[in-house]
Amino acid sequence: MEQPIINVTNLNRTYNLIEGKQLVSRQQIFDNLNFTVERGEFVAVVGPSGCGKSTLLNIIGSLDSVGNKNYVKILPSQENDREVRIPETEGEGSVFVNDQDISLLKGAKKATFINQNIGFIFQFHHLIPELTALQNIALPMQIRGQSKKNAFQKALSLLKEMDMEHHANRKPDILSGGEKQRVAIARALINSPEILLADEPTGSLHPQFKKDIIKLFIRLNQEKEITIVMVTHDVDSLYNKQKDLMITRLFSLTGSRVDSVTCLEADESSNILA
Amino acid sequence: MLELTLSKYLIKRIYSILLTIGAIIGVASLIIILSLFYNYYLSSEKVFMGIHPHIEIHKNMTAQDSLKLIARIQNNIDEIVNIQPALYVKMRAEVSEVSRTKAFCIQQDDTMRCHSLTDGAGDLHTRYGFHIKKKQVTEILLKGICLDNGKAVMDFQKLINGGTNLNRIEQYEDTNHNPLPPGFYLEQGLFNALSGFFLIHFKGLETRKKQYWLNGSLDMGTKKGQYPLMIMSLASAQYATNNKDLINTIEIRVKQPYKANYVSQKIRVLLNDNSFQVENWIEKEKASFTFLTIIKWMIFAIIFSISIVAAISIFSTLYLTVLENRKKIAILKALGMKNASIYIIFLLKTLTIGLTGTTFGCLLGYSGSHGFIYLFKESLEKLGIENPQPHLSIEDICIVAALTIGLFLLTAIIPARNAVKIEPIEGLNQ
Repeated sequence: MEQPIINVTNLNRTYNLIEGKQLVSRQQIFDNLNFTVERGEFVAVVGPSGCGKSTLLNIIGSLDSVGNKNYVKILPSQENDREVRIPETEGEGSVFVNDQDISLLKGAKKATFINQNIGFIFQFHHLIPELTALQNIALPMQIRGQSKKNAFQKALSLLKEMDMEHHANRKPDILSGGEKQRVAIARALINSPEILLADEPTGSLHPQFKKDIIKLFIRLNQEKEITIVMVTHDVDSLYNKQKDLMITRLFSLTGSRVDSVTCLEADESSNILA
Repeated sequence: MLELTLSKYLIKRIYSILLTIGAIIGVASLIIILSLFYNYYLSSEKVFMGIHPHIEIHKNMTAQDSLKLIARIQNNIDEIVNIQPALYVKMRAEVSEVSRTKAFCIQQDDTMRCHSLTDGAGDLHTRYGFHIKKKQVTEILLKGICLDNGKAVMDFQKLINGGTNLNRIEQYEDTNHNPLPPGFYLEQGLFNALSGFFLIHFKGLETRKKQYWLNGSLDMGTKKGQYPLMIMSLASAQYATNNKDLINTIEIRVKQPYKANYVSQKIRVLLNDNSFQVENWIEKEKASFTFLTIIKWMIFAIIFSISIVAAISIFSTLYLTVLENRKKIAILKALGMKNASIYIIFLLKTLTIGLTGTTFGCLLGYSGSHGFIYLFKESLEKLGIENPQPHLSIEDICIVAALTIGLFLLTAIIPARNAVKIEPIEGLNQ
């Protein structure tokens, strides 16, 4: 049986809120979270704000670490105790992406893994404003070590695919929100990654562009067989007029946001709206 | 190269321009200061080296003994180029500043009578006469020297009355047997004048009926507590001081002036006699060298301060650039850019600025140092620096360039490390 392309097992994440060397509260986001995505699936991660959708996506994409980080000194609760160092962010668990334990990735290996396996799409596009659309798209391929000529050729073909070739030499500032997002998608696709991670890609768009972007994702998923994990609030746009879900499935993260250590439930469902 | 392209976009053009201008000005001033100081240092050193014999041995002796001593030293020490006997005597002379005019004289028998003394008989002659403007009796140091094939132990080129032929120092008559003044060389100007006509009257030379006139003097600046040094032939000096067989100094010129200390030590060991006082030019000018060393350190302090200010400005600009570009650096990391590449982006930028600044700064500094020397030539010559030239070698320029680029790269290390440390997720959420 084929291994899932993304396999998150027993993932924990807690934020220690510290003010003036005092631990004010602990906010647990994940408690033994399990999440798997099969190759070729298009999964939407949904849930209320602050439940950890983006965090999950960032951990899968190696932008955020699985383990503890940002150690700080805090004063002890009892008077005689010494200062102790605790992580601002506590975490544990295992995350396998494309058969790679990403917690083992460091430095150049991590960078190469991201560059070759994952395409990121962000809510606010995150294009480099000084570069043209073509240069922005070609960037990951050039980072991979490909020649400028090859990278620009491929970038141009992707722009044509998006019906945006006439915007090739324009800088992001003069593009509309939808155009910027399509440039960002083209940038994410240029290295032909197996996984696309999209963090609310339609969040900042005009409603008329939202459907276009979702359609584009569905096309990429179906035609190019790219595995897509998308964080979204906009569940409506994932259904067609017949109220059928256009993507493989939804994955819901629900839970409390306040100071607590209560368990957050991971609820997998394909018809969350039903 | 991707890193080079990105470095162009990540660091604002205005920062790059300002840093490049700063680098150009910094490098240019560095080269100009070095050139001027080098010029001053070398020229001063040359002057110190020139105004003294490299080594002097002092002791009163007869001419015969001095020749024996010279032969002994020559046979035992190889480093010597020229060794001659000399006589140093402090004496008083009457020095008058004059304007020179022609006078009409009549020769009667063996006596030349000028102006009022003539009774109208005899042949009419023209002689130079002098109107005395200023007169003073002054202490001078008289030095009688010998030549070896027309070369003196001291490094001087010109006699006071214009001649470049040092043999004239020992010439007392012209080809028509007319008396000539001895070819004086003055270390220090009389009346602190740079040029003019002077009459010098030595008490001891009166019997020879010689009144010497000089058409100029060399102003080397006044050294506190020292007397003007007047150089003439050994025979004239012995005659003037009525010490016909006295030698009190042996002057030595060595092949390598900077080894004078070593050679003088060898001479001390050879002579093994405390009655001989052996000293060299480095010891004599110790105070001057200390002064030059102080100036050298002051110059280095100025250059170091310039460099530190430059380094701080580069550092703060790059630091600010990293802060401003946290998000862009995070995007690059999210696209899979390696830490090494991010490091290279900043190092490349500083290298580009450093190279541009160094290239143009060197050109500006080179032409600037020529310009400064041209502009201040007169003042430098008054300071005793003959024919001042910028002393800049390829090595000097290479050292300045390498140091500048090195400094730029050093200051880029911390900002580049900060850039590398940016967590993509934190940068993107900014």
